[in-house]
Amino acid sequence: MTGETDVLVVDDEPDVRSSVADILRQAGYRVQEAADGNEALDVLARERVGAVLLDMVMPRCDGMAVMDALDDPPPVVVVSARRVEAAARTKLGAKVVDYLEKPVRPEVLLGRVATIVGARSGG
Amino acid sequence: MGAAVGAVERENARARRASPLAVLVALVIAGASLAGFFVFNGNAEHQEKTLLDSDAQQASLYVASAFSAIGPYLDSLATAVTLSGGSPAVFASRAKALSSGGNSLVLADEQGGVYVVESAVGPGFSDGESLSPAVSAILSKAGATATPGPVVFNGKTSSCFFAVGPPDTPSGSVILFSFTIRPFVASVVTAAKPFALLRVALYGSSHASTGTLFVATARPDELPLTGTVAVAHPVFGTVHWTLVAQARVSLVGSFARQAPYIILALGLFLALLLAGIVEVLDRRSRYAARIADERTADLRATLADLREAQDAVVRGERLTALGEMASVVGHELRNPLAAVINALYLLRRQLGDPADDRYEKHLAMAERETTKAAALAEDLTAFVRPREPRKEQVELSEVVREVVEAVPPPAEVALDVDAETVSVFADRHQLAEVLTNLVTNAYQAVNGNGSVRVSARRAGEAAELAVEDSGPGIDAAVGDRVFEPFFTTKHDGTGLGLAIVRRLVEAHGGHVAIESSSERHGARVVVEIPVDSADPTDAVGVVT
Repeated sequence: MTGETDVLVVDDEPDVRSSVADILRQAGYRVQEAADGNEALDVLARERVGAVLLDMVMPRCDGMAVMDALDDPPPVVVVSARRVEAAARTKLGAKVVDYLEKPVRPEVLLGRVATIVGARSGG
Repeated sequence: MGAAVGAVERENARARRASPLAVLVALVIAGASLAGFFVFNGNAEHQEKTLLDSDAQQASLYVASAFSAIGPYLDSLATAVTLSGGSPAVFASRAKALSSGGNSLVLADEQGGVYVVESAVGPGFSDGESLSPAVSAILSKAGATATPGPVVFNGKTSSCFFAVGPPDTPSGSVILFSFTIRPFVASVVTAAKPFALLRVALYGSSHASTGTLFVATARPDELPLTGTVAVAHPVFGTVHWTLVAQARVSLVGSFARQAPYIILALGLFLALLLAGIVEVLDRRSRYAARIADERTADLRATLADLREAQDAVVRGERLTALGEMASVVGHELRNPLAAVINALYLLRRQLGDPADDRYEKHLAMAERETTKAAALAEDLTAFVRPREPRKEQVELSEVVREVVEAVPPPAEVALDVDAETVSVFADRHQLAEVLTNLVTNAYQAVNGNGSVRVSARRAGEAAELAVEDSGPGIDAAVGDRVFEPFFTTKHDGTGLGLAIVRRLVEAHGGHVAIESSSERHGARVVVEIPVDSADPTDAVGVVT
C-alpha cells in the first residue's frame, strides 16, 4: 500500500472516465483512474481505496473479472451502460453496494460516493 | 347477430317451401291430364250419343217394318171383299177365320161424311155403328198401305187400329184391324233380343205423349225417359210415330267411359310423383350449393386469417429489427451522453448558476437537450429489453393513489380519481410505470387546461384501468398505431411511451386500447389485466 485513494474510477471510455474523475476531484476527493480491469487491479493492489466506480463492459478484463479476482474488495458501485441482469447481481452479491445506469446525473453520483466514503470539503 | 338469426329463419322457410320448379312440373302434368280427361270424356260422350242415335234409327226402322206386315195381312181380306162387290157376309165369313183374341176386324162404308160399320168381327164394334168424325177423317185418307189410327193408352192397355182403303177396297169402303195390347208386357226384353241394351218407348203420335204410349221396353216408373236420349220417328204412310231410346249401359263400353277418369287419375299421380322427384333433386342441389357456399366462406375466412397472421409476422419482424437497432443506438448513446452531461456539470460549476449572460442561454439549452436525450436512451432500453414481471398480489387502487401522488396534475388541470378495490396478480412497479406513462400523456394532451379522469374497476375476469382526458383526442385513422414504437403525435415525444405500456400490459396477458370519438372530446385509454386465477378472492367467488 503506497498511498490513499478515496475513489477509483474504472471505465474504458476516456471522456467518461476523465469527466467523472474531474467532478469527484472538484468535490475534494482523491481519485485514481483505470482504463480497464487490469489497471484497476494494479491500483487496488497498490493502494487503499475507499470506493470503486466500476464499469462492467470493458475490453480485455471486464468488471466481472475484476470482482472475481478480489476476495475482499472495497465498496463497489457498478456504473454501466447496460442493465446488470438479476443472475449477475446474484453472483456479485454483497460486494456491490449499488447499481447505477449511465448516464448518471453528477449530483446522484456524488451523493452515492458521499454515503460511502463521506463528504469532502472541496469544490 | 339479429341479422344472422333472420337469415337462418329465411333459409328454413325456404327449405319448407316446395321449389317453384316442382310446383311447375306438378301443374303442367296435372293440367295436361285434366285436358286429356276432357278430350277423352267429350269424345266418349260424342260416340255414345252417335251410337244411341244410330240404334234409335235402327229401332225405328225395325218397328216400321214390323207393322208393315199388317198390310198384306189385310190385303187378302180386302181382295175378297172387293171381288164380292163389298158384301158384308163375305167379309164376315173371311174375317172370322183371321181374327183372334181381342182383335177386331171391321168393314165400314162412308155415308154422308162419316163411316158406318157394315160388319164387325171381334169386340168393340157393332154393326150399324157410326164412327166418330175424328176416326172418319183418318179413314177417309186410308189407302193401299196400312194407316195407323190414333193410339189410346188408358194406363193399362193401349188400343189402336190400322186401316186399308181404296183401291184395295171398293170405293167408299175401308177395312179396320183394331187391337189392344199391354205396353209393358208386350215386349219383354231379354239379352237375346235386338236392342237389348236400350230402353225404348214408342208413342203413337208425333211427340212423346204418355196418353199415346204404344209399347215400352222400360218399367212404367222409368217413363218418361230423360237424360241422354235419342228420338226417332217411324213412318207409316203419312203418319209419324215417336220412338224414344235410352241406353241401359254404356254403348261404347265401360272402358271408354272410364278411360278419361283413368287418364285423370294416372295424370295426377304422375304429377305428384314427378313433382316429388324434382323437389328431392332440387333440395339436394340446393343443399349441395349451400354446403359449397359455406365451404367457400370458410376458405375466405381462413385466407383472411392467414393474411392477417402474415401481416402480423411481417409487422413483428419489422418491430424486432427496429428494436434491435434501437437497442444498439440506446446503448451506444449512453457513454457519450454520460461524458456530455459530466462536461456540462463541470462547465456549470465553472461558469456559475446562472452563468454569465454570454453563456447562460447556450449552457441551459445544452443541459435541456441532453436531459431529453438521456430520457430517450432510457426509453429505448426499457422498450427493447423489458424486465420479466415479478408478480405479486397488488391492490390496484393503491397503485393508482401512489402514481397520482408521485405525478400530480399541473395547475389548471382537474384530476378525478375513481378507483374501486381490485386485487390483481401483477408486477407492482410495472403497473405503476404503465399508469405513470398514461397519466403523463393525459396531462400533456389537455395542454395544461382541462380535466383528466383515472378509474379502476373490476370487469368480469379482468381489472380495468382507464385514463380519460378532455384533450383533442386521437384521429380515428391513427387508432392503435399510437401503441407502435416511434409513433408520436407530440413534438417532443420519443414515441416509445405507449409502446412500452403495451409491452408491459401484454407481458401480463392483458390488453390495451385507445378510444376516441368525435361525439365525445378527448381520448380514453383502457388497460385490461386478467385477474389471475391464483387470486384467492376469485376462488371464493367461484364457490359462491
